[in-house]
Amino acid sequence: MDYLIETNQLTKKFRNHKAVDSVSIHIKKGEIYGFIGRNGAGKTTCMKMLCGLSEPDSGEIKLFGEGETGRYFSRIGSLIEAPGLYPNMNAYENLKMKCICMGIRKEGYIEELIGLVGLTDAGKKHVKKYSLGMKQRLGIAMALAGEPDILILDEPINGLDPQGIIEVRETLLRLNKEKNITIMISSHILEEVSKIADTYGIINNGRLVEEISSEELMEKCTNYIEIKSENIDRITTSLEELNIRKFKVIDKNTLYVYEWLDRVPMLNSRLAKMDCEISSIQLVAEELENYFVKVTGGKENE
Amino acid sequence: MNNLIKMNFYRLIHSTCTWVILALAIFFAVISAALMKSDKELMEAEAYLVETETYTDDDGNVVTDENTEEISLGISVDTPYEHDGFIPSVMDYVASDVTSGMVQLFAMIFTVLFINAEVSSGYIKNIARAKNGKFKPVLAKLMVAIIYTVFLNLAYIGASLISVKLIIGPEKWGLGKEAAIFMAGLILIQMAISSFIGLITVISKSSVIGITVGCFELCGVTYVLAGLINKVIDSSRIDISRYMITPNINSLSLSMGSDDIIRVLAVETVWILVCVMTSVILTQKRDIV
Repeated sequence: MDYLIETNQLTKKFRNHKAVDSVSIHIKKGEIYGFIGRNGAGKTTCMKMLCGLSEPDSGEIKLFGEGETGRYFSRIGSLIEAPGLYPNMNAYENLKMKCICMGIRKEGYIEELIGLVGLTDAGKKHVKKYSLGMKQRLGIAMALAGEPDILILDEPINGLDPQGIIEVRETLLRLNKEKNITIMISSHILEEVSKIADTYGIINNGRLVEEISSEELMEKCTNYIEIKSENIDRITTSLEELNIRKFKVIDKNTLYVYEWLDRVPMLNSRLAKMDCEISSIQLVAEELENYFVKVTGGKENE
Repeated sequence: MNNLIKMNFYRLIHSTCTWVILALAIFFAVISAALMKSDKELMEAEAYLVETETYTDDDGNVVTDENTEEISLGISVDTPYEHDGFIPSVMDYVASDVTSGMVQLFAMIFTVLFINAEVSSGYIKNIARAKNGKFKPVLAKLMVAIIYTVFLNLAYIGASLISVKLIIGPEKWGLGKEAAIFMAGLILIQMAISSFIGLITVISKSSVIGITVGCFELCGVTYVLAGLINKVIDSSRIDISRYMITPNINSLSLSMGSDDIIRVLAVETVWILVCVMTSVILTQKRDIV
């Protein structure tokens, strides 16, 4: 089994509109998969199909390497769109219902889940009195009930304050590392997902435009110092003398340096002292968001 | 499936709506007994024993008609009265009360709220997913709602029996075989009403539509509909209303014949099966959210 979740040409139509169009996703065991796309890109529809909440019109879903998905849906915990909670019940009662449904009778299990998402202090407060962040956290606890192997979380950080975002991020990282839970997390905020994801799937207008590992993405978005000079050979010799090895000659007048990124003025003065003639020197950084906009076609698609 | 039913019982017990509707039903059972007592006293005072209607025929003669059967639209109770040596028992009063539609109204409201809560809160997303079992949460919910409405009817009947005995005070209880058949018929009709309203709620995914249809149904719109159908098919032999859910409440009486009993049981059972099966098929075919 290469992938825990694999889809092949997954398609879902709503009347004549293809919400998901021939999407082929590959999620390895134990990884955090960031599913990136703008609002309406097809993330939620895709995730609903992976959870068994919605039927695809065509294409195939393989869970745990098998095409017969029915018996594996119970091994997926999900939080799709807003958390599904009874507002007139408290956290314990909401979780208790899910546990009864899944046949879980372990003593102290619900309290453990509540503690895991940091809702112990909420006590017997009804869910309708919860803040958005508390509801999201309870939604994650609901998804965790039953010890799933896969967590599918649709925009779990939506509406959270910065502290809440950090807490959710840390919880997910802990679950991934300690319990080896494979996580698929969607967001339209690439910057946030980039802090935890191992692999990214970028979806736009229902189509998966790119599936890329964290390393590959970082490489594409790495910051560098751009140096322009009439005498590039002299610059490369000086860089070697400064013990800088990571650089790339782009053309006869341009060179990229991948070290000393936080010491651009110092590099400038050292090179000047070494009689290097520099036309310009600047730190260039391609932000993840820019990369995302570029991949998804930017404003052309709006 | 067992776990889903257990889960719904947990929800039932922890839902405020369960207890509020039960308390209201019992309260109205007591109120209804008190109203029947004042109605009875009024009738005795006026010595109004038989409702009669007079009119002049084509020859100018005054003709008196006895109304032996009358269908009332809306929720109202026909208080039994002493006449021709007939002395109403406790069960006669209760039978008259429970066929008024009041308890059915409470049960209908509960069914709609209980079934729609899972969809409107989104909780269904947490529990419904298996490819071939998407219908299970709705089936479990329908089953528990039907069980509750049966319980609600029994609680109403119980409260009504005690209230009538204490407030009106008939000598005989009248709890014989006829009463058992009557209650079985009533409960079956209630189950059919709950199944039908459950189906409407599943189709519409809306509490408002569910309750509105339920109110129309209990206020006698079905009679009007049946009358129209009878007129359209121009049939003098078949009365469509006898094969509909709610009009059968009026067929119920402590002295109903075996033909009527069989018809009511058969019609209501078919309706329950049709409504539950349709809800199940529909849910299975639909996406959850």
